[in-house]
Amino acid sequence: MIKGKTIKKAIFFLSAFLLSAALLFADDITISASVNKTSLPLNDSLIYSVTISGNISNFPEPQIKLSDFNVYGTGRSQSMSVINGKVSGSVVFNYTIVPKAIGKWTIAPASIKYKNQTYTTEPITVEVTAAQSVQRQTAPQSSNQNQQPQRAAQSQNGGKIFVESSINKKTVYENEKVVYRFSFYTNMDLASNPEYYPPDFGGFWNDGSQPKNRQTVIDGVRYNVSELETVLYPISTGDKNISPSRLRVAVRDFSMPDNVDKFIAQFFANAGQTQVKDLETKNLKIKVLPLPQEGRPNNFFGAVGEFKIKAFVDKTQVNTNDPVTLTVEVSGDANMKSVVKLDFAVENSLRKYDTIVSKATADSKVFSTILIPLTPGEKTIPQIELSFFNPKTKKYETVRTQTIKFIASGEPVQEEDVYKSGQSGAIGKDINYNKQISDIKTYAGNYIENKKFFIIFIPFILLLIGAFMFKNLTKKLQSISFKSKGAKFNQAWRFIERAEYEIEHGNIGGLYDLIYNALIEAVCAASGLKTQNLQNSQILDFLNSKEIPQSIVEKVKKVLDKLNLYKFAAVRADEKSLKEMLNGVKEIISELKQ
Amino acid sequence: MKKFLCFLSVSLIFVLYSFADDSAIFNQISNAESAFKNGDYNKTIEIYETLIQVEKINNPYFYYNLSNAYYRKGDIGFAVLNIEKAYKLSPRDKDIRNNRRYLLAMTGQTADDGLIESATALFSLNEITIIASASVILLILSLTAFLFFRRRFIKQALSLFIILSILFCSLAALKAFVVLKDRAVVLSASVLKSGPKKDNAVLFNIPSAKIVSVLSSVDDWSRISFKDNDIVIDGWIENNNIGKF
Repeated sequence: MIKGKTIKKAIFFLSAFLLSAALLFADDITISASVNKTSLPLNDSLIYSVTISGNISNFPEPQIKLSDFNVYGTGRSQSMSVINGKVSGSVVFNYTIVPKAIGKWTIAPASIKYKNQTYTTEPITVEVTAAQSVQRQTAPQSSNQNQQPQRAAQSQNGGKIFVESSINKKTVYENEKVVYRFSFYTNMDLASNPEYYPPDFGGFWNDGSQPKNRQTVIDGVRYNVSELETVLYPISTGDKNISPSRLRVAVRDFSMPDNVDKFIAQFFANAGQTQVKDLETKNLKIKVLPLPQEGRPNNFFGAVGEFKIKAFVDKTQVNTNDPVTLTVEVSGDANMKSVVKLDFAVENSLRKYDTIVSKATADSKVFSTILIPLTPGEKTIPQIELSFFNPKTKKYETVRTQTIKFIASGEPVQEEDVYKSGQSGAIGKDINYNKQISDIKTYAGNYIENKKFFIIFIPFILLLIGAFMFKNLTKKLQSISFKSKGAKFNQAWRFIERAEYEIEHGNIGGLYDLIYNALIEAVCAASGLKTQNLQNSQILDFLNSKEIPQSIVEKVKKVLDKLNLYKFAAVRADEKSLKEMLNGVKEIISELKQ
Repeated sequence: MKKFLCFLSVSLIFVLYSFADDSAIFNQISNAESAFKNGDYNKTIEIYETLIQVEKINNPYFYYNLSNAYYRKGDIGFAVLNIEKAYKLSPRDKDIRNNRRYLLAMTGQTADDGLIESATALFSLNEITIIASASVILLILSLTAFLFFRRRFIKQALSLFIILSILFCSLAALKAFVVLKDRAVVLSASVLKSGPKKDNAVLFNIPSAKIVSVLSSVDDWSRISFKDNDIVIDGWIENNNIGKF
């Protein structure tokens, strides 16, 4: 057999591997809920936040129950962090909610289901007081709102919803940032989340949208406003048209016909009918001007906006032939997509590699360049310039980084030593050239995905099973028929020896079987009998037919009768009788052997 | 005898036919390389794409040369896609490793993979599958031998193959975990949307050549995710903007 230690080690190794894998992939999720205030007047709103955190990447959306509140807006923010090498993330779902009535209300626990487990928050109690009187106010009209709201739906009880769209500038330059704002005003109950159909932004580069929620008062009426700001960059000049945005919204109308008694109407106050409304904004026109030719610098590559620039290196003291990364960060209220490249030169003692964009966001862009000092001494990276067109001043402007210095020490580097494939972080100047194809061998798909591949194991598994079966069968056969005559007599003597040992130690229990086996083994050896499972009479008949001397047959018969007697009758043999019987069997074996 | 001759003739026809077939492919490769030298990258791309998609030749060097042609043409998304395909089939090839590293660095990505990727980077999935299968077969054979011959060296071999089988099967499982993950390259700068519809809100812009994980697919859209500055970003993108590998 295999050594026990080896098996234990193998099992330990496998268990440790499985355990560590299980721990590695174990999820740890927490969920909590909070509100930004626990007491508010009826006409105010609060933000209900549900935070889910854990080491998972796809956070499920929580199930919330806000039956005593109207939900006017939702938002979601997600973050990931690495603390002590462990990555964890969290997502916060914010719901802007407005109470329906005065009183103490409990926000039921929010819950999420993840991998068949349910996680819930604690309930939160909120006190709603009487509404504060609303002073007559006008809606905040910012100077950049160019369009009047288009009132699109009104219920009989005065609830209103409407949408409007606006752009922050009517006339812009090519590549200048334009913000398109879609606003949805409501003071009615929404039956479901509205469906937003954005306009056709043809002729503009769409840089994504950001949702916002706020409240406003127009003509003394408070509205919840959901806004979507889309950042656009015109990509061609001329008069542009932004088609209407559309919003499909399902609202509940609680109004009753005028002739219905107020007392009856209150019973149906919660049974509003759901109506689907399609709202649409107006067309917006925008004029896109070409960038002026006058005063255009030579190093202008199309950047439009207001930019800032800064640069730094990752180390100020290096060895020659070690890479230094120069990082240039361009930021500002501008079109970052219009910053396509940075053009700068360095001194000859520095090997400069291609500048790559290592990070790009809506308001910043980071360029990285690897420099390798070829000679020792102080190295200077000159000012890096970015020329751009500033739409505010309507002029071309230039921003510059500061001059950067670092010290290189060590031996001068031969040009051909600068780059070796696979060397510490240095990147080649170019890709390696094409390969000469001399073999058109087609690689198979993944074997592991092909069920037929596993057929190769079948013969070996069958071999193992066959070997097991053969081994067992041989063992069985060897025990009886296929043993040699001498082996059978030896086996008979071994039974006798064991029987003697048992008598000496007073163990009579299995003694009869040992004596019987010894006798039968010897009889089989002498007569060529092939099976042991025979009746006594059959054994004797067989011995008679094989010309075994009658005296031996008689002795065998006597032993078999005695064994039957002691084995099956309520007669118990003493030690002397047993020894006599054993001696009798020994005699029989000796005679049969002769 | 007649039967034998007939069999021989048929076999020869097949052999000649296959040689003719190969020589046609080599001619096409030669045309592709000439076009590459002359700067006609479109023709090079056309030939290699035909060989890969029509002739179904799944060869790392075809992907490598195709990646070079896309790179020279300035189509970085396709260049990254094809170098990733080449790397998947032949992870030890120096040129493939170098160009992959170069292209990823150029697109602001890193070729430094995680622990699992590094542990299994030396072998392709098929290579490690074969090694794991061979160790399991040797384990079965040594166990069979052990049933009949209880010799010391067989015991030692059995112990060795148990350990090797566990080791290589684990590595094969890890490699499969890495390779069989649905990954894709963004072929051209696109936008991520909040759902699998054109009408859904735009979430982010995603640059070309970005390597992303494909989480699920609905109709012509795929939900993808990628890590940016330790933040996991996910959203929906149209399938024709990504190339899976």
